[in-house]
Amino acid sequence: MSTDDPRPTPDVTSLLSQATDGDQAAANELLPLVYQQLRAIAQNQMAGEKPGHTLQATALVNEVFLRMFGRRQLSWQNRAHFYATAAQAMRRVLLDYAKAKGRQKRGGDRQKMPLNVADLAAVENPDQILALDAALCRLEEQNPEAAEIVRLRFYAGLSIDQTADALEMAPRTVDRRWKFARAWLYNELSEQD
Amino acid sequence: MTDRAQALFEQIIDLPADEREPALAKSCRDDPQLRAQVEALLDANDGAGSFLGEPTIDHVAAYSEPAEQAGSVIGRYKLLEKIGHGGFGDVYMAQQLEPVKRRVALKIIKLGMDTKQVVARFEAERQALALMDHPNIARVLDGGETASGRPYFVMELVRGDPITEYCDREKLPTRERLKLFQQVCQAIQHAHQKGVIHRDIKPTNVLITVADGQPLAKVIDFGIAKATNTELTEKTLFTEFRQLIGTPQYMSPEQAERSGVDIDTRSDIYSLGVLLYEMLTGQTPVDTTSLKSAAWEELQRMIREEEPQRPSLRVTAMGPDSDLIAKSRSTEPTRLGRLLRGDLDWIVLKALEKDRTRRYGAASELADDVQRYLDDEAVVATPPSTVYKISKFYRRNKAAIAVATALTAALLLGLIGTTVAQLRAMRERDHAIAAEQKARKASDRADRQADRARRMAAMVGNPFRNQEQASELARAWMADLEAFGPSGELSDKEILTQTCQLAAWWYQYGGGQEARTLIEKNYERAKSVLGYDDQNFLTLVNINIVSHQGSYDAQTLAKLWDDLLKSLRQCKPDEFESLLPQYAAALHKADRDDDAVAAIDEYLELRNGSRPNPKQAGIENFRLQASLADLSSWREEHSSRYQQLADLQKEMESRPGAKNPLFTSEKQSQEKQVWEGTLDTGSAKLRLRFAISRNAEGEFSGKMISLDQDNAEVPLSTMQAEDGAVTMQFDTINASFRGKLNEQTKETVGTWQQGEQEYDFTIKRVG
Repeated sequence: MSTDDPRPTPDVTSLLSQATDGDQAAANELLPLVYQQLRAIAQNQMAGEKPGHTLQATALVNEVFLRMFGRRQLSWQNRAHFYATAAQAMRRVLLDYAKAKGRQKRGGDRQKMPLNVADLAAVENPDQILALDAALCRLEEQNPEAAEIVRLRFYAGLSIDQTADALEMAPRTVDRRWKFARAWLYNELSEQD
Repeated sequence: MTDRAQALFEQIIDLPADEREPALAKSCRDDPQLRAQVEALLDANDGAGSFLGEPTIDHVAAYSEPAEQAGSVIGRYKLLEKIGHGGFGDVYMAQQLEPVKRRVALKIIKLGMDTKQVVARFEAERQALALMDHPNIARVLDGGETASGRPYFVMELVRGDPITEYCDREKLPTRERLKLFQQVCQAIQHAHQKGVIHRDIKPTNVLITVADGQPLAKVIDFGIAKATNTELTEKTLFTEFRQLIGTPQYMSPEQAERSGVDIDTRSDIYSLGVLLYEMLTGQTPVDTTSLKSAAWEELQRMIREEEPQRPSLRVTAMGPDSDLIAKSRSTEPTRLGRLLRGDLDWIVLKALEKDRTRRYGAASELADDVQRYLDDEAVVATPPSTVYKISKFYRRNKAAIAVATALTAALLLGLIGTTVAQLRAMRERDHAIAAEQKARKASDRADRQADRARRMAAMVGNPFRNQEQASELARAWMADLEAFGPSGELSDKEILTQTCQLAAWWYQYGGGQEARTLIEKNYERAKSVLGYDDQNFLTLVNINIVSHQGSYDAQTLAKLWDDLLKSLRQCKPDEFESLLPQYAAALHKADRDDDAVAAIDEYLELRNGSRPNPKQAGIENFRLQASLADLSSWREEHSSRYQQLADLQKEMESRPGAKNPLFTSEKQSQEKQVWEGTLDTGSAKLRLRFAISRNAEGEFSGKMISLDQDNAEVPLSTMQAEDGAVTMQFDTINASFRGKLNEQTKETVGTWQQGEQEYDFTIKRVG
């Protein structure tokens, strides 16, 4: 399978550039690619590791970046677009997982799991994933910028500074808005308990 | 939650704890609700702990592809057995449980697409799909989303082999293949009538089953390409997993273009053409090996531009494979070639026209033409007409042809016929191009867009690019000119005009033999039809002389010189005189001394009245020198004339700046430098190389080479370098570079200006 092939393919770069320039078709093509890479790399890595090893989303996204673009010089606009795409792909990976898991459970003795909001970092519980996504969609409606910050921070694992770079905002502003979004989501999810 | 709450929260969140309360109290004096909201957020922030910290996704990673497998139930269908697997996903044989029990094929698309969109697109097409009812179409029954969130499609179950495999296995002769192909056309025609475009016709989507001992074609996967947007994803899959997925060989140019051109039924006609091509020849029109090695952009270009080889030529030109191909058609290569030649060639090529308006208007028309062939009737498809081919050739080679026409003046310098002189002419040619472009640019200034397009064309469609392809076309054009002659659609005059230009083009690009062949066949006719006052005829005489210098006898050459001077007098009345001495030399060699004397007398008389303009002096000086050498026997016979010529030559040589370019170039020690840099235009990075020479007089010459564009070359028009300030001008692409040399780093840092655009650009010396 060519996903094991670490050599970057030249066309991915132009695809990314086109997507960054607002070419919707290119953006639509890029997403499944990143998605597939994310899944394939995640599975490969876990297969080769001892039990108890943890896989960080950040590390995974960076690995995908390396696989797809190697050491090529990319403009920061292109990088930013990649991370936005990666965040979206990661979100979809999680959702696909949650939906499938949720359905599996529904067949058996399904019981409502209490939502342990404080523990959301370890994204294991399908209900948590789905609830977070729903809350994020609500946040998006009233504050798309805050939602984007959450996506980049949480799903793509970007730091405050990286997020600020990607969104062309001041790090201080990003930091505050991130705190706001996090608090907002926390309340939103806690209310459901 | 209000914007005010957010603003206030962000305002006070970074304050020390003891300053928060006063700030809150001040801002929310009359608004307890706002205060409550902000306090809730502050509490949440304090209590959130590791909430939304870095996610770890072990479980997600360990969890593998959702498991639809034999035995799973998807809606009303129970999966029985996996019967196919591809880049798109998996195909299962399945049992429909209700309302009727039957076997169906169920195709599950793999993850990574937006399932909702795919299903929505499928639903939109569903009504049209339901209307299709044809024995050669596998019915599309259902579609939806599986439990794991993957889109799936349910189709009539077809047990069969891809059409090309079936044909080869059964060793079907060509006629039988054509009959099967007609079934496919009928299926596509039916779908088109119901408003459904297939978009993904290829052998694996045309399966052959055997019913009552007769092969029956079944076209599968209607509606799926549209729902899954295969036009887009195919590229993606191709670039990433090209060895697994195969190639977009069946894509029409408008699909490959992806430029938002609407895909219509004619795109399917093209794919039918590819299918027929493969059924007849065993190969797809665009070579599979070149497809594998090409980058996507190159692929697009091939699909858009490269003319497919005629099927009849293809089957005979495959070496050992030819035998294999012929054998699987129960025949031999030469016989197969003969069979395909003519009507079948034209039918296939008409379906494969790049321009969709030139294809068959409907699948039924294609099927009908195949029927006419089977019935030995005249087919509708015809060989491309000369006019069409010529216009096509023009379209592709506009730049090259413009150059060839601009060469006339430059070639006149080449009349000396020596290698050195030809090299010199090459350089002159660059100037001629530049001058021509400049003139055009000036006249077009009003139309900036056209100007920009031309600059792009000069960069990308540089005549030096793709010479092989152009030669092939030129050869095809030549063959047609011979085969069809004046076609009635094009006047004699036009055909000859283009013949002249074609000859110039060949000469220019090293096709001396081709040029000579053209000239020998057309020279006399061109003279009578075009006449002496025709610029193109002048070009033709010129090349005739230059390219036959060594092969014609002196008498024949002298006659050509007569034609040249006659034509020159009419076409370039201000320039002809500088060639009189060489004309005289040619006449002298042919023992026509009286005529030679007359020519020299005319020359001397003209030169007594006026001197050539300073720019021409160097060349004329050289021509005089060459003539004096040829006329050396005149020292005695016509000593006074000879002396006058010699004096004139000396005077010209003494003029400042009128040094003979040829002789100085022998002496001069040329300094050569190569510079390179990467120009970042934002949308593209171009590696540019500058090969610059400086002669003994300090004059620069050279060219720019675009390393990313097949080494396309652009001549350097002017260059200055003084006190570390460098300017270079490239008139043909309307570009210039201004920079300062940094002595320490040996880099020249400056600005590249092209039209309105300016870019920072650094070039570094590499040799």
